[in-house]
Amino acid sequence: MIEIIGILAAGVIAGRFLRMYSWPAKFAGLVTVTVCALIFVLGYSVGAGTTSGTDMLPVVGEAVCLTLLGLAGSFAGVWFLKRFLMKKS
Amino acid sequence: MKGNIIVLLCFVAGWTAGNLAGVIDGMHSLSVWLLYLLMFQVGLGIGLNPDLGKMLRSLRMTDILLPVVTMAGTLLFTAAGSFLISRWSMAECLAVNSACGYYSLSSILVSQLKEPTLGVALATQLGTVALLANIFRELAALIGAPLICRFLGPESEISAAGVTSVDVCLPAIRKWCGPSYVPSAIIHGVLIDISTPFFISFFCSL
Repeated sequence: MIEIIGILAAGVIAGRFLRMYSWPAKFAGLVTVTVCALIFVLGYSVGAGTTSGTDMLPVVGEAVCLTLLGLAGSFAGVWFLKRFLMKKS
Repeated sequence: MKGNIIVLLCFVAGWTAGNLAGVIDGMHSLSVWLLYLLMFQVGLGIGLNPDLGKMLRSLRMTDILLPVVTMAGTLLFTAAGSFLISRWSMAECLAVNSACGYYSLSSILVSQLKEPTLGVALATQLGTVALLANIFRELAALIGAPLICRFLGPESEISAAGVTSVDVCLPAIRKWCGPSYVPSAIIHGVLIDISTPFFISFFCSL
């Protein structure tokens, strides 16, 4: 957690100092490539885990159900925020 | 949309490769280093923005309240809908979903904390549910970003991203919600990140 925020802060500071150059913008633009690599590694971890012989179907079903509940709750929370709290502030 | 399909293909390709090749040592460290690189790139992108100071000055009260409603809504709906999952108790469902997309930490914490009460096999299965449920949440926020932003608003996209609004989903939030939502997304991700270990530990102890 501290490393993550520290690296993010280091990037922000580096960006502030390197604004006059064009190459940092190109490097920052490669973010999609990094995201794709991260998603590949993520998929790899899940794929490697499924070879352990566990029956994955009910596990996936439960995970999907919980994801949908979590997302619906988040959207409801935002609706509540917009409807009752944002109007007041 | 093209970018999202590429992301989805990357996940499928990774899943296939993992299924064929099995566990490889060093995969976890690779993902950690890739996350560090991503964070630096995201930070660089923020720092290069000439309107950064203006953006920070425009932080509103709602930016602070957003993580609170994300967590409250997630927990309330999970508690209400936990009867749909007969195998796990309400507290176990809440432990899984209180991670809000923090799949790495939730899967490890849930497996370890539930092992004494559930046993190794069941605790591992609950850990896998936690891993997948939170990966699916992240993927939904990443792939569904244009649709969520368009139909439900930028705050909903940040909320859906959960803890990943500060890292993996930040580029998508920046692209689809606009650069003005970046500070809000960072605050949201950081506050949920801090609260997640406490919530998981609490619900696992029930």
